[in-house]
Formats: sequence, C-alpha cells, structure tokens
Amino acid sequence: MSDFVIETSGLTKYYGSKIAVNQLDLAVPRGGVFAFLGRNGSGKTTSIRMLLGFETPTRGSCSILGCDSQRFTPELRNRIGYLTESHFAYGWMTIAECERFQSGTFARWNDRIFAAVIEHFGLSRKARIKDLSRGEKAGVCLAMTLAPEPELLVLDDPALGLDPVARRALLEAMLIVTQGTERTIFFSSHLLDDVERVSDQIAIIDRGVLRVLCPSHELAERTSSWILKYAGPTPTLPEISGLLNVSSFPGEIRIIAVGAIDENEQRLRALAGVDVQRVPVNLQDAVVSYMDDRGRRKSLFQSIGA
Amino acid sequence: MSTLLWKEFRENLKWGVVLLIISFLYQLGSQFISPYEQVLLYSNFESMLGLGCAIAATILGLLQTFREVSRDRWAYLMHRGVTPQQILRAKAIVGISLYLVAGLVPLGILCVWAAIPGNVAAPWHPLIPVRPFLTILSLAPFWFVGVLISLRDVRWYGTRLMVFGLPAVLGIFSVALLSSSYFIGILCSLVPTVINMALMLILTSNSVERRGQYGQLATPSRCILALNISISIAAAMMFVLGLGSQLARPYLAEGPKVNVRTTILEDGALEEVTVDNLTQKIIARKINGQSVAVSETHEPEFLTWRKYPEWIPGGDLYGMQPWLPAPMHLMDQQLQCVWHYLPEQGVFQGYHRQTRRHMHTISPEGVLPASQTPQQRFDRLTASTVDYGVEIATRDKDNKRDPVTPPLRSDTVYAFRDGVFYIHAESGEVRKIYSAPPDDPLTGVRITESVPSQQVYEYEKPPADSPRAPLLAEFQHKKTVRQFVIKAEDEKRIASQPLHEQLFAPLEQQAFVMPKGLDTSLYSQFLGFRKGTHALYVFVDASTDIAMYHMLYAKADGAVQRHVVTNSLAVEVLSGIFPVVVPPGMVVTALTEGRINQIDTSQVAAEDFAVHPALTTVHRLLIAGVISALIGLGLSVDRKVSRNSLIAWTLFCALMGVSGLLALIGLVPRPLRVKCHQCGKLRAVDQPHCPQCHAEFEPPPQNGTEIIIREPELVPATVE
Repeated sequence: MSDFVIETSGLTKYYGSKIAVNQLDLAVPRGGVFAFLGRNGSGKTTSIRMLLGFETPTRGSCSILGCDSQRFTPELRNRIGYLTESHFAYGWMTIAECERFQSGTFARWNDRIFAAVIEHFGLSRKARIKDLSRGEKAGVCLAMTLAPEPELLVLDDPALGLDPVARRALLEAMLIVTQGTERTIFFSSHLLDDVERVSDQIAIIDRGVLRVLCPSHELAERTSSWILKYAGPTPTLPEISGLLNVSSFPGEIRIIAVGAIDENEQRLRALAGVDVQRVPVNLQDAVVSYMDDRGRRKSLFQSIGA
Repeated sequence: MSTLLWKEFRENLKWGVVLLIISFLYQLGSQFISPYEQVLLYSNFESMLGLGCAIAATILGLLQTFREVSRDRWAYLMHRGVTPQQILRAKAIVGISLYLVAGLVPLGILCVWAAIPGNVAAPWHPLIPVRPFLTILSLAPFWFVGVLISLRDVRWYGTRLMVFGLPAVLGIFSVALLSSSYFIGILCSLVPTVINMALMLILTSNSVERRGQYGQLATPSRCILALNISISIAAAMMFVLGLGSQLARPYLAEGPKVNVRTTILEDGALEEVTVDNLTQKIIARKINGQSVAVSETHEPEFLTWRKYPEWIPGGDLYGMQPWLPAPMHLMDQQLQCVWHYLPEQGVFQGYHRQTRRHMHTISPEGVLPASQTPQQRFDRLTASTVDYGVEIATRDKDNKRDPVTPPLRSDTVYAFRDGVFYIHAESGEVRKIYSAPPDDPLTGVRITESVPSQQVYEYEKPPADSPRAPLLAEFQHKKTVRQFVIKAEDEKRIASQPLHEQLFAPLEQQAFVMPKGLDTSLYSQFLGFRKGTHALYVFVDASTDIAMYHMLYAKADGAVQRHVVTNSLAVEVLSGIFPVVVPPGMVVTALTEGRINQIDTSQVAAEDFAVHPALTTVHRLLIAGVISALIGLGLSVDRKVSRNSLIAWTLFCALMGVSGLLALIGLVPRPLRVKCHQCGKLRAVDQPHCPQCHAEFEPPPQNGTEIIIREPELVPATVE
C-alpha cells in the first residue's frame, strides 16, 4: 500500500488564457491532517476539484489512493469523503431523508457516527434542510461525509461562514472521528488558528504556484519578523533574502522574511539610526505573509498618504 | 438504484403533476370544444400534441438536471458509490415515466370518453388513438435534449440549445412514417424511435460522465454530438433564411416584378391579369388578348384561389385507413346531423348535434335510419375539393349561414372512383350524376364556383339580382381530365328538380389529354393552365424523397414541347445559396412549403419557362462540398486534432456544409498556445513537450521564499 494518498505531478489548469494552477507537485502522506492554504482565487478549489475528477487538468496528472483522478470508480469514491465549501444538501429533504439518500448510495454506512454528529450539533432528524441555519447544515453535511467511514476526507473550507461555536463543533467532530485511525484529512481553510491547532502538514499555493510544502511547525520556525524603529527620514532597506512582506508605518517598518535569519538580521542591524527588534512569528503571521502581495501593492497608510 | 429512483421521484413528482394537468386540459379541452368530430384524427391536434410533447419532455429533462449542474451540487450528486450512468438511468426512468404518464393518461381518458356513444357526434374506432400514442412515444427522446442542454459546457445559452436537431429529425421521421398502411406504419415508426432513444442515451450517458466536455467524450458520442449540433444549426439557418427570404421577396431585384395570372371566365373567355408583386395591385387586364379597363374594386385572384376558391376538408382523406371515419360537411339543416364518411363501410353516418348519437346513414340507396343496414356502398372516395367560397357567399354580415340554401351547391357533389354522386341529406336525394369509364376511374374532382373577378363575396350575401355563378367541375381520371361547367340559370327550377346529366355541358373543348407517357397516378398534385393554344401542366412528384415539380408545356392535343424538372418554384435567387448553407441532404427550401395551388403562376408562364439554371442542383452540391471540405481541413489542422479526427471532420464538413463547419468551430476549440522558453516558437499548453524542440515547460518562477520539504522516504503510489 502506498504511503501517499494524494499525488500530483505537474498539475496544470488553464481557464482560457489564465493559468489557475501552475505545475502543482504535491504528495500528501497517509494519516494526519494536511492543510491546503491560499487566498481566494489562488487555485485551491480548482486543485481539489481536479483531484476529485470534477475538473479536467490541462496538463499533468493527479491521483488519489493510487487511482487516476479521471478514472474514479464507485468503489474508490466510497473511500473518499468530500465536503464542499457550500455545504450543499437538497433543501427539500429532511435530515432522515438525507441519511437515507447517503446510506443508500455508499457501500459503507456507520449510523452511530451519523447520529453522534447530528446530536453533537443538536439537530433533529425530522428537520428539513432548507430550514436549518448555515452552521446546522454544515453539521449535517459533515455527518453525511463522516458516516461512510472514508479513508480520506477532503474538506474544502468546511468552516466557511460558520460562527465560532459551530466552527468549534465542526473541528471537534472532525478530530474525534479521525482520532486513532489511519484516516487522512486534506482540508483547505482561511481560519488559520484552526489550521495551527490541527494540521500536521501545510501547503500554501499562491497564484496557482506551490510556495510552501512542509510540516506546520517548520513554517513558523523558518519565518522571522523584525520591527525597525527610526526617527527622521525613512531608511533605505538593504536586500533581504526571502522577503515576504514589508509594512511601513510612521516611524516604524515591519519586515517578515523566510530563511537566512542570521544573514538578514546582520544586514538590518547594520543600518544606522535604526532600532532593530526581532519578534516571534506564529503560523498565522507566517501564512498571511505568504498570501499577501509581497510588496506588490502599497500599505493602506501609503495609499492614503499618511 | 432504488435510492436514486426514490430521490428523483420525490424531487420531480410535482413537475409531472403540472405536466399532467396541462396535458389533460389540452387533450380533453380540445375534444370538449369540438364535440362534432374526433379531434384525435386531426393533424392540427396532432401537430400541437407533438410540439407540446417535445417541449414538455425537454423541460422535464432540463428541470431534473439544470439545477444540479452547478459546481458543488454536481459534486455532491456525483461523488458517491454509484456510477454516473446509474444516476442518469434513475433520472431517465423517472423523467420519461412522468412524461409518458402526463401524455398517455389523459389520452386514455379521452379515448374512453370519446368512445361512449352520445359524447361525441362522430364514429369511434379503436385504432384512432394509435397515431397520438405513437406521437407521444416517439418524442420521449427529447427528455435527453433537456439533460444535454443543462450539461453542455459552453459559454452562451444559445449554443446550449443546439442539441435538438437529431431527435427532432428522427422524431418527425417516426411520426411521418405513420402512413396509410397502419400496421406496417407502426413498425416503421418504432424503428426511428428506438434509434433516437439509443443515440440520445449513448450521448447523454457519456456526457454525464464527462460533464458535457466534447473533448472528453468517447468517439461514438462525439460523432453523435457533432451530427446533432450540425443538424440543429442547419435547421436554425433554414428557418432564418426562409423567414428572411419571405420578408425580402418583394424587394429582390432578380425576382419578377409582376405576375401574369390567367383565368378562365364563366363564359370560357381567357382573362390575363398583370399584378404588381410588391403592391399586389392589378396594373393591366386582358380578355382574349384585348386590353380592358381595370376596376378599382378589382381584387387580384390566383387562378385556383379566391377566383376558384378552395376548401379543404378538415381531415386528411389520404391519410385515413379504410376503417377510419372522415368528416364530411354535408349541408344539413333539416336532420340536424353532423355527417362523417366511413371509408371502410362506404357510407356516410349522421350524428345528431344535440344527442350526438348515430341517427342516419347515407348509402347509394338513399338516407336511411341508423337501425337499417345499407345493402349498397359507395366506392372509395376520391380527393375532392369543394367550394368554400360558395359557403362564404351564403353567409350574411354577421357570418350566419343563410337558412335558404339552394340545393345545387358544390358541397352536395361527391366523387368516388366509379363516378360522381349528388347527395342532399335534407331532401334525402342520393343520385349518381356522372359515371366514370370502367377503365378510367376518377382520381380526383375539383368543383369550384367561378366567381367573376368583380364580385368577391366575403361574409356578405350576394345581391339578389346578381347572376348565379356557375360551377366549374374538373374531373380528374387516371388517364384523362374532363372539365365541365354546371350552369344553373333558374335557382328555383334546380331546387325542385333532380339534377340530370344533361346539365353538364362541355366548355369549349376543355378535355385535356394527358401528355403521352405520363402516369398521373404517381403524382399527388395536378394543375392545368390554358394559355392560347397551349396548355401548361404542373405536377408534383411526391414519390421521391424531395418533392420535384414537373412542368410540361404542351399543345392542346397533348404533344409535349418542353419538360422541366425543378425542386423549387420559388424565387431562384436564393435557391443557389441553399446547397451551400445547408446539408446536401436537405435541399428542399423553406420557401416551397405549402400547397402548389398557391404558387405564383408567373413563375411558370410560358415566357419564363426557360428555367434552366447554369448550374444544376447537383453541381452546386458538389462545389459546396469541396469548399466545405477544404475549409474543414484547414480548421482541423489549426486545431491540432489527431489524424483520425482530421479525416473525420473533413468528410463531415464535406457532407454537412456550413453547418458542419460551425459545429467544428463550436466543438473543437483552438488550443491555447504560448511561446516556448527554449526555442521561442508557439506550443500548445496541453502538450507536455514542445513539438519543435521537445523541451518541457519551464517551472514556475521562484521568488526565493519557497519552502518545499518532501519526504523522500515515503513510497510513491503506482497510478492505476
């Protein structure tokens, strides 16, 4: 049995002349939680849809559990749980009917899991989907995704639009079900504190290009941040290796960079009349810095001429 | 599978109920508002039923699919432990079942109701519902059209609709094959229905699996889709061109500016009327070659329309089986009956308007009560047209029928193979007034009223002192045509005396002998025009796939001087375009739709008879095919299709013309090309290696912030 549940090789997708995913090479190991991050429009959902065979790659290949994504069989789909960001379920169905529909079309069905998740969200089986709130619908969809006991869970921004309580419930349900099993969770999210809490590995995609693929702790460890305080004119910054972000404020500059920590610090401290402080970086700061525009646009203060 | 069926049924039952209600209202409503005839026999009812079925099936397929093709919904539906084909099968079973129930249940109820004596003033036969039943069945494949419209991965909704062509052609074909031979017709009709269903199922099944993307479909599906789209485009183009040419017709410079119409007046004089095509005003008039003044009130008349107005019976006589009834409008105020002719029994049956029960029977013996079995029967009824104008002329300003109806009306005369009968239900008189020679049976009769051109009565009673217009009777035999004028000078005398054969007086020598070598039984339509010492015969040969018009210019003795065959009598300027823009197999132009009687006679006037185009239709088709093939080849090469696809598309474009080219452009997009980083030449983005220098694609540019830590110790998967 392969140690990778998801593999892509040169995966590329064009929409017209625009390249949405550019030669993505990914390998997700079995077991654990893999976070797939990126800004809106960075290519996350397109990548996930290609992985699950709902989009055709322009070039390259992708496979799940050793099977080409363009040739999925029903048996393979039984082994994959997929939760979309819209938490779709048929509005005319009740929760009981949703259970009937799902259990009748999947080979395996664990009614205890379904009941447990429904109960966790405080739902009644007689409730109609269209009458549920967004968080409640998310709970139903999660229950429908977990009950077939899939080996791989692919969750596309599962907590999107949920309030903090619903988000917490969702996360807990995810973790409880996958605890102690060989299941793999592959999920995308914008909620970085959730990512920090649960993920083992992390990947960041920026404008269709994979920029980060490493264990979660590695990203924070390799990212560093400095605050430069100065009086008088704005100092000219030296060349910073692995520069991620520069933010200018009155009398202060904040720099985030990845790698070459000592070298960068040495260059910064060489600046005259500048007080350099290195500050710790958490995963959230690191990820946001990666997903930011990298100095391609001005800060808000610069834009308004402050 | 049962879960999928349950889901589809629960979700779509409401649409089935809506369709059922609409179908119920239409079918039973049509019968309720027409209590004197079996509406199931009528082409209008069937046409509307067919149109409604196609639309209903398409809408149902659309409703079952359209809402589910958005990204997450589609993923939710498709990502489960069943195949896409199983999902489609469940949708199809439920959708087509709901469609059939909506169509057939009201039909069944209608049949039961219509068969009960006293509900409809018309006879009933168990085979009457066969055509509507087969119409409903043959249009079920349109359900797949709705699904395909939803699935197609195209940008504009207009192009999504271009999937109706193939099922429409096969559907119409299957209904058209319901000919006069019922049992053979039923079998013949089922064959295209089965083919239709199979082709659409193959295409839709593959499309569901591949989310409607042409490039991902299997070869059979691609062929079906290409053919479907091409036929749809051709149909749309023919409609637009036909409509446009009709609108532009008066303004076309190459078309004739004037028409010259010839007419035989009641006294046998030859009238020639010149009409401006654009304004339809009469600009000149001659009688026997002499110019006469044009009256301001003079209305232009076609030779066989208005001047000799025509009335078409409500039923299609030739389409009827011997055991099916056909309604005949026997004038009957006394008995208050609605009359129907039953070809199998060879009698007329009268049904009372109030009780709607069979009250009387007309046979050659006379008018009999329903309880009496007739001993004689009429021979097969021929195609006869009777004078609607007469009926119109007897109505007053409020369009009410004149109760005092002279007995000698053209709609009291009926032609059978062995002769012509005068039948007047009110007086009970049934009399044979003309016997056809045994070796020359009647094939058709046209009896019209020769209304003088100045007197066109429409919804008005003729003045009391106006002369009674004589009847012009044209008896078409298998070998000869004989024309007679029936003059009735004294209305009262005719009303009180039975009609005698002496009243038939030949008009000059109007017996046209058919040109030698022609068998008129092959031709479904016939017109004869007399001009001077010559005559012009126009036949429509409907025995070929494409109706061909034969024009023969002959002397009075029948010696043919010129014979032209053409597929179009419309304005020729556009006919040259059609072989280029429509598939060669669909050469019939939209302009020639309709009855030949309405064709402008100027097109066939002797002087214009030299309709010998420089290029025949076959030449045009060949040239169009070669041009289309070359363009198709160029487009295919540009789109970098495979060798097999290149050959296939080239042949397809040669066969289908412009519609094939448009299908190619729509289905096979030009691949996106970018510059190769190594050789600088353009290369397709979907190919991993440059065709020129074989270089791979350059990796995405790095910006120095990448952190890529892969785990080399792990075992990579083997892709299945």
